Amino acid sequence: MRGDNDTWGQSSRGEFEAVVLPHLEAMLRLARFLMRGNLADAEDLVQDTVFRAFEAFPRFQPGTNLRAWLFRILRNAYVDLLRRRGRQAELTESLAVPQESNSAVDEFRAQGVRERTAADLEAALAELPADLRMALLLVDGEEMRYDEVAEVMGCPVGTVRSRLHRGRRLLREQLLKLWRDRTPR
Amino acid sequence: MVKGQLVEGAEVTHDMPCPEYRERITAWADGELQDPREVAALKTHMRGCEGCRIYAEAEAATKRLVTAAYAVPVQVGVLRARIREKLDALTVPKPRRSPVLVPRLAWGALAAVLLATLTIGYLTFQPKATVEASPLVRAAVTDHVECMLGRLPLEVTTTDQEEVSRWLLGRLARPIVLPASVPKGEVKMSTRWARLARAEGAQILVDRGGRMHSLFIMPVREVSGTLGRQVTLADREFFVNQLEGYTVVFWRQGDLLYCLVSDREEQEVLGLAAEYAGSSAS
Repeated sequence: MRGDNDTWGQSSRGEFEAVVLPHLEAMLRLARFLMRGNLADAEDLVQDTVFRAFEAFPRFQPGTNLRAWLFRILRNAYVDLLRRRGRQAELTESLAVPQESNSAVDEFRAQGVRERTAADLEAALAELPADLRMALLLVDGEEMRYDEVAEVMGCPVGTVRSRLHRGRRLLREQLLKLWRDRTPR
Repeated sequence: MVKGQLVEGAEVTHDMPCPEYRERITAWADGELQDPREVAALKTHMRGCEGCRIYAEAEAATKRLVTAAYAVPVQVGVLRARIREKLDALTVPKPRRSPVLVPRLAWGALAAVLLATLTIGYLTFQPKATVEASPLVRAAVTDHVECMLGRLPLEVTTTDQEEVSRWLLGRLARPIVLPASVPKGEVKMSTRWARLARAEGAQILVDRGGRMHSLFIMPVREVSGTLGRQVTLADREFFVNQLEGYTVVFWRQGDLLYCLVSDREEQEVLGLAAEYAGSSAS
């Protein structure tokens, strides 16, 4: 137990730091996208995640997927944060994913080559429902397998696949919207 | 696993990707289409379907954009230092509670009250057996103090008991309603998931007019050993402990064990426990 020096003292704390802190950068990178670029909020979210992990660490099974375990705690902390702020609707996939024609896909490909800026991507990702955004970031950013993402998000692998498909379509739509708004008429 | 790769030679064109292949193309672009027969069937299909081929290209291009945007480095030095500092505070031995300062003029009154209480207590009650504080009692006091000092992360902070009840939903073996000991809105509550000795449960830190107490709720099956000195109040059994100036009261309700920690006087804490127990039973 944390606070009981016989079982959870300095040595356990050292072990916790040794295995968890190397994941700090990955957690902060994900949190930054979840918090829509607000670094201070992202740091608070990661700090909350680390303390939740610290509390739960005696129950962590060595040999299991630590990165997935940490990201799952981070997601739970994020969901709780949205709930506290009364913004739980952002998590759901209520945003309709538009039908995508080949002409739109072509336009995206042409524009994508010319204007692939990180700021555009951040703005477009910020418009996505949180669970779609998170699935995209874990697979494309963290290069996680679908089964790992399913573990993080607490959903079946099929749902991960569906979220990625919907997320990428929606992301293209958002990017096109940005680029069209900027094009001189 | 086969990574997505475009197939040359379009023969048939569609304006849209075929619905039955869309998600398979996504999985293929991610190297997650694992069945070789499924991969072969998709490739054959794309050879003759321009819509799906273009769609596969768009999926791969979108994936590359996200990967590139995500690769922007972040600095964690300050955050790491901040976290280590807070971990230091959590793992050093806990300071004992400072004695309460009593204004000089109050000493006389306090002595009189003490004398009266001792006299009445001696005449009225049997001598109480000393019960050694169990690890659960110590853990409850420690977590209560740590929470008050802001050293433990809290999840929901609200003035609405129903919100706390919703937070509790699904976390314990059965849904429970938080005992509403005071009128709605008169308290501020913060929640966290706690682990006391070997028992897991919810902790609700209650701020009632600036004085704080903690209510822990956990499955009774996870608790063993002595719960403290038994006291019967309003036909209900409570178990009382004293540790480092805190009163810790347990009571059982169905398959749940409740634990109240407060620095108020024992009788006051017992009254509060009875209030909680009464309202949660109704």
